[in-house]
Amino acid sequence: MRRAKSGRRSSFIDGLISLGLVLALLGATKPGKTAAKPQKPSSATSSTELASANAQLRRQMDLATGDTFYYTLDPVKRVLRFMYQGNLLYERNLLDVEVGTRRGFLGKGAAPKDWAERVWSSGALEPARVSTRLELDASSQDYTKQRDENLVPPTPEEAFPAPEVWRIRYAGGMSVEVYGLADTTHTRPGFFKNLSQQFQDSMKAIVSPNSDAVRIRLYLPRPQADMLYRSVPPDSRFTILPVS
Amino acid sequence: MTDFAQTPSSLRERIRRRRRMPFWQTIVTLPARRSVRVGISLLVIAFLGVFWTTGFKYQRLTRVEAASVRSPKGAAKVAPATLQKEQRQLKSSLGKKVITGTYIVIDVTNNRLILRNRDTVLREAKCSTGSGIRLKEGAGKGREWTFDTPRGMFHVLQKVEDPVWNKPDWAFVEDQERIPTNPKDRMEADMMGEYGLHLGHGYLIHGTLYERLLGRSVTHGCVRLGRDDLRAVYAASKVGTSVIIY
Repeated sequence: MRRAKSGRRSSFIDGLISLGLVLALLGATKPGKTAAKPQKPSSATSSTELASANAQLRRQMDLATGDTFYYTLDPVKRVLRFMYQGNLLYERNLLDVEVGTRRGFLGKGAAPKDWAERVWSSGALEPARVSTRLELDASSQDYTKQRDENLVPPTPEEAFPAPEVWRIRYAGGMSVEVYGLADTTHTRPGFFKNLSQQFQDSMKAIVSPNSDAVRIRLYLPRPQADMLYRSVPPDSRFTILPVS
Repeated sequence: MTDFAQTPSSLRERIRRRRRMPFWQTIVTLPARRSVRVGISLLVIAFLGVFWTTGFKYQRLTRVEAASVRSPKGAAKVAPATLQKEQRQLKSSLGKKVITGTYIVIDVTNNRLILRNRDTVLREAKCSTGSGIRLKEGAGKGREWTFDTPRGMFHVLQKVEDPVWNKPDWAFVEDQERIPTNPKDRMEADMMGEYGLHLGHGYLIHGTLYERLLGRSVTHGCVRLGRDDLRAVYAASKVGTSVIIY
């Protein structure tokens, strides 16, 4: 009788543990489903909406007035535009766009509330494109040999091979992460790849206090992502266009 | 000491079985023990807990920022008419920044040239831009040149047909030739293709004899184009056309 009771308790505890494990696993690997509820469009143009739109226009004006190259992201149309002084240089259609906000263990390193309203600045490519400048001394003895060896330089693809995943890190813990997908039928990484990525993120968050707070993930076909990697200028800026 | 004979028969049977087990089988059956199972499970839950609270929460970026955008401070106090007027002014100022008509965009790393008119791509072409090589004159003369294509906003200052190359000093240093004193000795025809678009400071968009090198960074800072693309770009641009190089 006692043994039977003990057996029932044991299987009950086992059940609870299994349930806990399943819930924890689901939580840890849950793909982006929890998008914020869309705001109901207001029928009347209120002062608040106008002021918000004006604030965005001022940000665009600020970007267009400056002397730096910048990106604008339209999350609804899924378009990334590369701009200079208000002029379009190129645009890329994205396969998908996600935002990752850091959970912030005990509130540490959590994403700032106004991340979507800011102009992200001082963008730095990671991993950086490493270019070694060739120096030729016309008076040196091996000048002719050196010059002739470099008559046909490598192609951009050979000189700057792009990784599958790369980032532009902006000041204040903001970053844009670009995924180049060889197979465009799947716009997101698989379960195990996602799990491994989350594991790396968690480890980095624990180890490094200066890891990202907000991360925009862009999914692009690989050739376009590679070309984008090679064209990122130093000190770029970035802004997200409002949903209208 | 417990009496083995007094233990329940089923337990006796289990102990006997375990004693007969080889060592490796004991290890394999270890997770079957409830205490071990609970311990491992708690460890996994703790690990996933850390994992869960420190990583990133990803969601589709569609309307997230709309939810996050808050109203600017004091917005409610300003009259809508004032805000609408401000909006018109801002849109007008932003509109004035945008280039009207055709403009040229050059990507120096990918060696690509795009002829655009606002959102429309009129032509895309392979080009060649600066090699990035630094040339030192040496022999105590101390002069050096860096063959980069400059970045930023430029304008077509002059359009020329059959441009003649006025060779600068570095061209002679590079070929290990004596720098001529007579300006006529610097002139070289048929090197720059059919057309040239002057961008200032000695930089041009021009043609090339070496079309097989298009797409590679080989120039001394100028932008080289293939014959057909050069014809199209020359025809579409005029003096004052904007050229944005990045």
